[in-house]
Formats: sequence, C-alpha cells, structure tokens
Amino acid sequence: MAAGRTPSARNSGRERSGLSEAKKYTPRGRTVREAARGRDPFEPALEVVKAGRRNQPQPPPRQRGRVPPARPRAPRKVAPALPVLPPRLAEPKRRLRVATVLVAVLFTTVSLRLVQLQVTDANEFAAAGLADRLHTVPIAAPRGAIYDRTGAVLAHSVEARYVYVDPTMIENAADAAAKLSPLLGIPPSQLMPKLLPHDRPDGRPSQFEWLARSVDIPTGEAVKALNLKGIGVRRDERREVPGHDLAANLIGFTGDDLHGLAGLEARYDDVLAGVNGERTFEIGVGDLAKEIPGGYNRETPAQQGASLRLTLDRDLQFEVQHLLSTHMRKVNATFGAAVVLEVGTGAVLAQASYPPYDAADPFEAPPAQRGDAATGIVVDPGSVHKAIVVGACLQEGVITPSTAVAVEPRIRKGDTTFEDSHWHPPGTRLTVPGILAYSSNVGTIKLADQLGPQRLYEYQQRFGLGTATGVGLPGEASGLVQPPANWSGSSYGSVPIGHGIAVTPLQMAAAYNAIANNGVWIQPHLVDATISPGGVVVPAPMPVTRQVLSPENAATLRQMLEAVVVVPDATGTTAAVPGYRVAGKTGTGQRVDNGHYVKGEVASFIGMAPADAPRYVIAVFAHTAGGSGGMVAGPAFSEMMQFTLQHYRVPPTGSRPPTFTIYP
Amino acid sequence: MTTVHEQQRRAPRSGGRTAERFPTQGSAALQPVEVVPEQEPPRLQVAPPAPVVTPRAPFVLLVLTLVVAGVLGILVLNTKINENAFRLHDLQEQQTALDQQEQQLERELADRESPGSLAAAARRLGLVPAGNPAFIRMPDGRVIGVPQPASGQPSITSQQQNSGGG
Repeated sequence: MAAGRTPSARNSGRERSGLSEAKKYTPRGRTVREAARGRDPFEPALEVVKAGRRNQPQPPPRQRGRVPPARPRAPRKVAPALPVLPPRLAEPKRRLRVATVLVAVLFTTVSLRLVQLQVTDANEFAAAGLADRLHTVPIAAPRGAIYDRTGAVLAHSVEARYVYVDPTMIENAADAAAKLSPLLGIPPSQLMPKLLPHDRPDGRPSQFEWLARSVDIPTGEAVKALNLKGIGVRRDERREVPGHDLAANLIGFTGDDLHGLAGLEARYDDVLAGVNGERTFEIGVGDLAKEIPGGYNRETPAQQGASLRLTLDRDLQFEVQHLLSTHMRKVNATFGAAVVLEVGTGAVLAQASYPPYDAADPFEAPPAQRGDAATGIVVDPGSVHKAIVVGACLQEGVITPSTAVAVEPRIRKGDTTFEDSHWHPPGTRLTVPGILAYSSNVGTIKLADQLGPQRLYEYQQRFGLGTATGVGLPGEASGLVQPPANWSGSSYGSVPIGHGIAVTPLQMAAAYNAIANNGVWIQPHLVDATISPGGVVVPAPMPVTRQVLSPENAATLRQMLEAVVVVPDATGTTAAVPGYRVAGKTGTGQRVDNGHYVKGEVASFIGMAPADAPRYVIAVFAHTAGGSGGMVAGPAFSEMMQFTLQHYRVPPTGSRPPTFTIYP
Repeated sequence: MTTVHEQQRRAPRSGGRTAERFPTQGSAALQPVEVVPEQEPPRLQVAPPAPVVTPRAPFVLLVLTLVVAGVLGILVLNTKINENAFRLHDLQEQQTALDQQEQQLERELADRESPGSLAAAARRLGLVPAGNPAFIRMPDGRVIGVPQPASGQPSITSQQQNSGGG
C-alpha cells in the first residue's frame, strides 16, 4: 500500500491539484463533510477566480478511482467564458516566506546587537554612564592640634572656605568686585586685577585665582548665595591660634598649603599633617540627587593628623611672656629670652622670646623676630658660667665648701688682663660663696687653673654646653665649646668666666637644672606626648639623663649660689623672691652673631627656688645696650619665679638661708 | 527430529506466532507439543504509589500568594531602603551643619578662654594681680608668710566705668 502511494505523493509537491486530490481522499468511516473540513486551508474559498486554472488538463486519474468528487463542478464550466485576464494573484506562501526571512533577519540583528552591547562593550558603556552619576565628596582630615600640658588649645585647625575666580568665566568684573568687596573685606581695586581675564606667566589664560583664603563659613555661604558666574567657594582649612602671640615663637606657623613653616609646626609637620580622603558614590538627578543605595561607592579614608601635647603651661607661658616683655621694654632690649624648667622632669613649662609676634599673622613680623630666642640665639654666657666651674671643682675635689682663694684686683692671662667688677684690696681671701656673690673673675680663673682646662672642658660638655639639647624645636643652635687644644693664652682667663664659649639660653637653663636636680642633667623637652586621631596618647621618648654632680655636691653648690641673692651687696639681690629662698647667678656676656660679637651686653640671671628643695629653674637673658645681669634680668627673674611658685602653689619651705662667710 | 523441528520453526511464515504452538512440516500439521507452563511464582512488582488526591485550588492559591507576597515584599524593602537613603542624606547634611556650628562655638570658646582674653576681661572688671598669699601648713596649722593686699593699679577704663555708674 505504502509503496503504491509514493510516486503520487512525490508529485503532489509540485502539482497543486495532485495534493488537492490526495487531500480529497476520504477514508472510510468519515463523512464527506469531515473530509471537506480537512481540505487545503490555502485553497481560496471562492472558486470563481480559479476558473482559468481549472481548465488545465487534469492529471491522470488515480488507479483506485475511488476518489469521490469533493465538490460540485458546475461553476467551472462557466469560467472559460470570461474574456478578462485574471488579476495577478497574491502568493501568500511567498509572502510568508519573505516575511519570515525579514523577521528572522530583524531578530538576528537585534540579538546580535544585544549580544554586542551586553557582552562585548557592556563595561565600556557602563563606565561612560557611571561618570555622569558619580558624585565626590571630600572627607576632611584636619591637621592635628597643639595643646598645652593641661589640654588647652594652643593651635588648632578649623573648617573654613576659600573663594576663587575663573577669570575666563567672569561676565561683569566690576559688578562682581563691587558685590564681593564688602563680603571679603578686600577693596575692589585689589579684586579687579584678579577678576579681569589675564594671562599667566606661561602665556595661557589664567583660569584660577585665589580671591580669599581661610574665609569664615558664613561668609563663604554668602558669597555662594551671590551666584556669580566664575566665582567659586570651596572647603578650606584655617590654622587658628587663639593665643595669638602666646608661645608663638615655639609653635610657629603654617603656610598656605597648611604645612609647617616654623617652630613645632615645621618640626612635627609629618605628625600633625592630615591627608584628606574622599568618598565617591552614585547619585540621581534633580530632586533625587542623593546617594543610590547599593550603587557604586568608593571611599578613600582620610588620614587625620595626630595632635601634640606640649609640656608648656599656657597660663605660665602667658605670664612669663608678659613679664619678659614688660621688663625688656623697660630696659629697651633688642632681644630677650626666658625659660622655665621643671626640676626633676626637665620639662619646659614656659619659654618666652622678646620681641614676640602674632602667630595668627606671622608675615607681618620680620623673620628674625619669628624665631625662638632661647634656642636660636647664641650668646657668651658670662658669669652664669662660673657655677659650672665651681660645680666641677667641687665634684673633682679641688675645693671644699670652706675653701678660700686669695683674690687680686686683676689677673693676666695671655694678652688679656681680667679684672673684678667688685674691687677688693690686694691679698683679700674670698670664700667660694664670696666668689660667686661678687662674681669674682679673678677667683674663678684661679679655681679653673686648679681644675685644669681638660677637666673644665669635660664638665662643660657634661653640663650640655656646645650640644643642641634636642628640645624639639627646629633650627636649634648647638653653640660652641672649644677643646683645650684650641685655647689661646687668654682662653685660660676668658673661658672660666664664660667668655669665648657660645651657648644658648636653654643650654644654660638645663645646666642649672642639673644643679637643682641633685646633679642629674636632664634633656629639656617641649613635647610631652603625641595624641593619635583615635585618642591614643603616645608619650614622647624619655629624655636623656646623666649624673654630672653628686647630690651632695649639687646641694653644696646650691647653697653657695644662694649667696648671690642673700649677701647684702652681692650682684643678684634684685632676684630675691619675698618669702622664698632663691639660689642663682647673674651673668653679663655678649651676643655672638655670625661669629662676631654684637654691640651691647647680654645680661642674664639663672636661678632656682626654693633653694633647699628646688622646684623650678628660670633663666632670663636680655640683650641691652649695657647693664649687668642683676640690674636687667634680676627683677624679671624675681617676678617670674614669684608667679611660678604661686601658680603651682609651692609653699615656702620655712627654712632660713644660711649666713655666709665671705671673708674668712 | 529436533533439528528438523528447529528448522521448521525458523521457517518464515505468516502467522509465526501460531507456528510456535502448533508445529508444522510443510503444510502438514504435527502433533502439537504439550507446552508445560513453568511453575513460576507470581511475579511481584512495586506498585506505583496510590495517586495522592489533594485539592488543587488551595495549592495554586498558596503559590500565587507567595509570589505576590514576595514581589510586594521586595518592593517594600526597596522602597524602604531608598527612603532611608534620603533620610540618611538629610541627616548627614544636618550633621555637617551641626559639626560646623560646634566647631564655630569651640573656636569662640578657645578664643575667650585664652589667657590674653581672660587677662583683658579681668582688667576690664578692674581686677589686679593678687599679692603674696600666706600658706597654712596643714598638719600643724603653721602659717608661712604674711598675706599682702594686692597692690596693682586697676585699669583706668574700669575706674571710669565705676565712677560713671556710681
């Protein structure tokens, strides 16, 4: 059966009628209507138009001959009579094929493009779109603050604004200048050159000019509210020094980029400086310009600067500066320095310079004024050095407390004759307290002769002279102490009395601090601790200490030094503090600048109180046209020491100073 | 016999099935072989589980509910997250403003409590530095020193204010 049907089935592909015929086969058991229902759906229902084709010769009838006629053929006989050419018929099958191909091509193209967009170039497109949605907010990392020992602010950073201009964007420069001038407090005549388009030195038009730095935030907002084209307001940081000239010479100041230029700000710049971070995230548009949750979000953390806690006491610093300035003005000094050291720790409680300057406006002051006098200025100490000679002699056993030295009016060393300011008849024997009280040059030189230059040089070094103390300030002078090999003939006379050596006031204060501290020299220091941004306090490294004198010899020396203040016609009576026992030494030296002596004299007084249990050492140095240490520095010392003792509530010890035998 | 029989059995013929039961030789039928059915035990099979008949509607309803609830849940969650993003933004702005205010106030405080400002304020009030105090040593109550009155000159402006007010 199947074999017999094959040829006709093969033909039916081309001969429509054949297919139609085949489809007309109605199996047994099915009605004609059912068969008709299953006819070729593409065959048009209207038979009329098919007349032309129906006339074509029919294929040979099937062998079976059992195929019943599907439908009546009556209308076909009418068709040949039509004389009109049949209209060109649509070919639905071809249309369908073409449409299918078109749609297939369309979808293929779309899919290919989709694959291209989604797979190949996706990242590129996403990145291009992301840039439009990204918003960057800086995270401020302010510079660390500088505190005093109580935690009071000496210098800190506050948020501010800066105002800039892009001169190429400015539309009406005169109008902008008129509006900005009252807000920024800058005359329009100064604003105009920046606002008008101009070229930079390299020839290109300038697109950025500072108009104002460190502007208050409300002012910045007001400028922003003007909504001037080409004028912008951005975040800035301002270094605030609430104390103005308070410890200005120590703290220093920062430049425009907020990096330290002088003082502790410069020395500890790497500790204090902060690095701003930023946060970049996706935002919407318009009202939706807020962060899109779950979107792109990258944060560069800000590195906040650490803070410094100094050993300074703000109130004491203020008063010491105030007293120093008052007294220096009185004596018309060119410079003055005062140092207050805490005995036992070596901490610098106050360190004042005269003339002071305002750290809030540092560039108004001449550069020389901005340095720290106590560490930056090198002087010939003068007679304050005699305590070191006496201390060395005591420690080396050259003298005892009861030793007396025959003092001539003058002594000749090399090519120089040294005289005593306090005249004694030739042959007068002076005790060591007497030598100190009258600041006898001849007596000190004789003591130094017994000690020997090499041992004196060693003690000078052990007392910290000629070496920078490392107090924590930049530009600290080291001074100069000559070894005996470099001594000339006159050096044997000048060095013991403090001439021909170069020291800083701080070095001398530290040397006296060793006498006060039972013979232990402690490195003076300004920085107490570093406070990390998280609040972790890291103490500064322990100061260097070394035993210079034995405690007994230090106590003996202190008692001898009391004679300077106590003996009625001694040099340092002006330094006495009512109610307290004071030990100290006056000095009159010279200032060394660039290896040459400067005109005028450096008067000094270094002392400690209470003498029998010292708590504080104060050194006062002043460069004046002329004047002894007792006259110039003594009164300043007295007032400073009185304030310091009262400020720290140190009661008088209640003991009486010993009576000194000057002439045995 | 057997071989012949086998050949015959393999001979292609229509109705092969019948030929098994009823062997033939050519067209002649042979005596049918008694086929003794092997005594097999009744075969046991794992019967498919009885069809579970559950009402379909509640299940469909459950699935639909889950789907709808899930979609709505995600929608609500997203809305909340976005809402919070807006709140976060507002709060951050508020915090920035408050930070600035705090900084401003701290600045003023630092300015006012700096020793220079305090000293100036004290002078404005006509205060003068204190004189030497006396100390009372606690265990034995011994008085050290003699208290002295303050000897400084009050500032002129404070005096003028006082006289003007009086």
